[in-house]
Amino acid sequence: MKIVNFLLIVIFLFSACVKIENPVIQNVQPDIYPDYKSVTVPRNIAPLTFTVKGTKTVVADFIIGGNVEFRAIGKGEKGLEISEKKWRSLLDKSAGRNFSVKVFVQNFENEWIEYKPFEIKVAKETIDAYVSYRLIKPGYEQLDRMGLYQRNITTFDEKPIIENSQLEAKDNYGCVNCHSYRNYNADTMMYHGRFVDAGTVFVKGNDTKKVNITIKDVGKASYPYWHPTAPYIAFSMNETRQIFHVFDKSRITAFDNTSDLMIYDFANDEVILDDRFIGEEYYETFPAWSPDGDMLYFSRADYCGSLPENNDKLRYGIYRASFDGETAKLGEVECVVDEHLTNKSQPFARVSPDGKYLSYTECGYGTFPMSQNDSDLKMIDLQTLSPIDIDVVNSDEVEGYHAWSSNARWLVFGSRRLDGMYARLFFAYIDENGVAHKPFLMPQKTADFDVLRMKAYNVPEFSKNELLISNYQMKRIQATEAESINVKYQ
Amino acid sequence: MKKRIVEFLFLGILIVCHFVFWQTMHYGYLNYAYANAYFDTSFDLFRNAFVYCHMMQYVENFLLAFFRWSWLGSFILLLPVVAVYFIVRDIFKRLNFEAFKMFAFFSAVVMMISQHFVHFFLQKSLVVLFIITAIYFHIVLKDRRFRFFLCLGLAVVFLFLSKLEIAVLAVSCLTTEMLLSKDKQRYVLSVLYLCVAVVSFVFYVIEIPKVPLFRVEMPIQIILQISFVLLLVVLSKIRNLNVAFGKKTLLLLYAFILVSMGLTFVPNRKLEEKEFYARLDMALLNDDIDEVLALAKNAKIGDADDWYPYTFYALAKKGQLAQSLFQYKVDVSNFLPEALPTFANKYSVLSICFYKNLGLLNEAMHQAFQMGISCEREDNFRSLCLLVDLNIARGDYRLVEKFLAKLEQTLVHTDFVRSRRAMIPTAKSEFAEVDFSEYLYINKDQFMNISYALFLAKNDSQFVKDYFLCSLLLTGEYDVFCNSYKELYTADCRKRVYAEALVMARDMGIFTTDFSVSAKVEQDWYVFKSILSNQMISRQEKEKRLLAFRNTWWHYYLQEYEHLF
Repeated sequence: MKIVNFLLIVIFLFSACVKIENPVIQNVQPDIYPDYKSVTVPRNIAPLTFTVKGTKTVVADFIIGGNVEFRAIGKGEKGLEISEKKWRSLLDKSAGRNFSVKVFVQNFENEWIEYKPFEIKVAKETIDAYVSYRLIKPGYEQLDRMGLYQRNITTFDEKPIIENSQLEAKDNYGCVNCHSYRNYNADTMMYHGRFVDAGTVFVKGNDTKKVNITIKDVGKASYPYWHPTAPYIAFSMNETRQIFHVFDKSRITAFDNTSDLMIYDFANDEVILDDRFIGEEYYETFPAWSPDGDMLYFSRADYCGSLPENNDKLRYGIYRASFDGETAKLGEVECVVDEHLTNKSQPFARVSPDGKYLSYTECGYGTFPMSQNDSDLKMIDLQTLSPIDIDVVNSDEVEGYHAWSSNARWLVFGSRRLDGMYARLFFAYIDENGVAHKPFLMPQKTADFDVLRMKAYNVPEFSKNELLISNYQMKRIQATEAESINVKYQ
Repeated sequence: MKKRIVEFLFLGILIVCHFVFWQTMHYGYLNYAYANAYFDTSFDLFRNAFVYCHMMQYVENFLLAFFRWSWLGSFILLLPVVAVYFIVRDIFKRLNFEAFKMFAFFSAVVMMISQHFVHFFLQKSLVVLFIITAIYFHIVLKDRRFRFFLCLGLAVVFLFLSKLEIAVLAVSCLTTEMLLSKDKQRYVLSVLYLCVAVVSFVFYVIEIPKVPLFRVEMPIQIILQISFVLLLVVLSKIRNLNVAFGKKTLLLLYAFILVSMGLTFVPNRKLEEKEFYARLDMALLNDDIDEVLALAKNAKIGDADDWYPYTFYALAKKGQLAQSLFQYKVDVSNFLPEALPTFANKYSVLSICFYKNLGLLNEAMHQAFQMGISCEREDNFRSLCLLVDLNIARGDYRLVEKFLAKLEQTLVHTDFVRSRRAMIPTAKSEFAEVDFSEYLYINKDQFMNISYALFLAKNDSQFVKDYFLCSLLLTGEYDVFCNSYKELYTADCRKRVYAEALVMARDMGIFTTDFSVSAKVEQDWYVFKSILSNQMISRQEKEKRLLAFRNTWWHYYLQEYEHLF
């Protein structure tokens, strides 16, 4: 036994030591994957594992003020193996300033190359520890295995909230979507189940229920947003369809045959409808409350003829209406971003939790930015309604669904910039002056993790805490019969 | 000694026949099984299999990956057959049924039958092998505690391997234990087995899919094989059957074994059908068009209409579509890949090749992607390989790299990955992206208007032109055909189908441009017209005479759009 222990220690020590002999010095920064050069990260993020593709071994020295804090070593394929303890200490020491990384690589001819160091800035502010998302194949018609997941971004833990493998029926898979938390608190959440055990599942601490929020001849609840204080959720009701481009690079898109707004009173299981937001004159979608709950923001497009023929003519602008929490009545509608002026579509908007900024996606047309390469994130100052340049977060590929962290310093968004097909999550720092910093890919245990994962990350949502209900409990809730609701017109 | 030789001989026959059956007669199906499987070394795949008790499928997929080489697939299929033979033979021996050892062949035969007739042949074979192995341990192991822990451990492992088949395992082991063990404490073990079975059943019903009982498939072969072994155990308690057979009885037994072995190779219509389409797909992927035509010509499966789309595709690839289209009983419903029967339907290799050759790479991608999704696994090998090739054609090398990285994790595609990586720096898109500003789309629920798309794309390949013009003729869009023909070709027409259509169009006043066709076509048209306009003969007689022209566009037009005459 002693011999075995001794051998294990020897093997460990041997594998942990790499001797870098006579490196060739290159006066350029390394081409690392994922690109973490000059990014700004929160002080509580998981280790940024990276590699240099096409190499045998990667070594990185993490340096603060000229002192090497620690060295990480890894294989070219999987990337650095960074000790979480050392990483955490590094971030604590460098909060509010930079640390630098010097990279050495060994190529397959066993030659060592030393690169010019690059910097990583550590923000003073932390980020909400959890991000929830849907993992789904960026496919076309049929559903495959998919699910909702919660990831602890301070570590690498990912847990299923619910997976459609749990909702298997004969010759059919269920679909789960539109997960949403109230005030970044995972104790209060909802999501929709479709096809198998259909209904909207609500969780509030230990209280759970499943509701069928479908209004005959009007629509069923789709994209949600919880009111921050009152017992309401604003929903859009979308009848979504897909189309496949014959020649366009984006291959696929979606459109809403109809889309309207409603407010769901979850205390009384009642749906409140306003005639102004129902009907064919406009398409309304993606509602979002202001942080104080006094204003409802949403995207709206004028009817422009039958769809999908006229989908490329459809432009969404961003509008808002005041809201009275006592009477649950919406006030006058006013335009925030005018689609007629931009001649672009702005289908998805979110207000920062400090109420200062409105971020939104902008694309050529329609309501489905994730399919259009020109889709970018934009931001305006809500005081002046003037645009703020955040182009540093954008790429030539799609940037789409996004969400703010609870301290309004971090944006998480889906982007297809890595391969043009599979959306991955990126985090961008927005400092106190509203200046956006270069975003970074959500760190994974190995550098090739997202290359090998054949699913796209969809609809990211921050939360401060972990969901306490297990996916097995969640399945049981979804298996119960859905309660019906009352409908009230205003 | 003689018995041993006979046994050895029979085993040899069984091994050779089984191997030859798969390797030479059903290599297409082995390839199909490989193509639709998926295995990689990722944690995600393992986690899903483990958490949702699909580990047996996981193991099956691992083995199916090696079916990429049909000889290896045949060998892997042979292993459980031989293993079950030796295990059952040893059970006979240990239960003092020496004379009955030859009966072990029946167990192997049943497994061979299950492989030939059950779709998920490998998984079921593994289930049987696992259960019989557990029973074997009960018989062989004398130490109560060791048996206790080993078999209980196996039962727990089995829960993660194969869901409800654990009930069969539990009942089998329980029966064996009750019958064979002299230990009074055997009841403890029995209760534990029952607990494992009940707990796993409850766990499965409550926690995993919604309606598990609908999903339970317990083929008769499994029941038969397990019952056979259990029967042995029961018999061993009833009486000592260690008797010697007479010569005649032995000969009868041998004959019976040989016949039953022969019966396993009786043609299975479903398997033959799958084999046929699998070979067609293999030929398509190898771009062996002559092989496609040869297979379609010599096929004896179902109706020829079913595989017409393969034939028309092959003819179009050879540039012969417009020459010989009406030599087949073609119509709108069997012309395009969508017409394939259920087994080879949507998202088929043919559809992907078809759209790729039309230059509609988005639609080819759509089909390939859906092929991966519709296979009930996380992915499939064929879909990934096709996506690599399609994206090489599209020039989208980022996606090529991604799919190749994934294939690298599958253990068996090293050569494929190497060969495609070598193409990356130099590969040029054969079908360049069309610079196309018009908003053109395909709706989810409707088949795309190919003709329209192609016409707009102005793809210049012969394949596209032929499919475009022939589909116009088949759908009766005569005006569009004539106008398109003018745009696509000069006046002279050498292709029989087009010549027939143009001659008729000229007489109907639709097509006025000068053109020349062969004298034979003109002559045939003259005869056809004269029969048609002859008022002196009866309708039956007319139809009889027109039969001579059944392979012409005129006859098709007359049949489909008779009211226009």
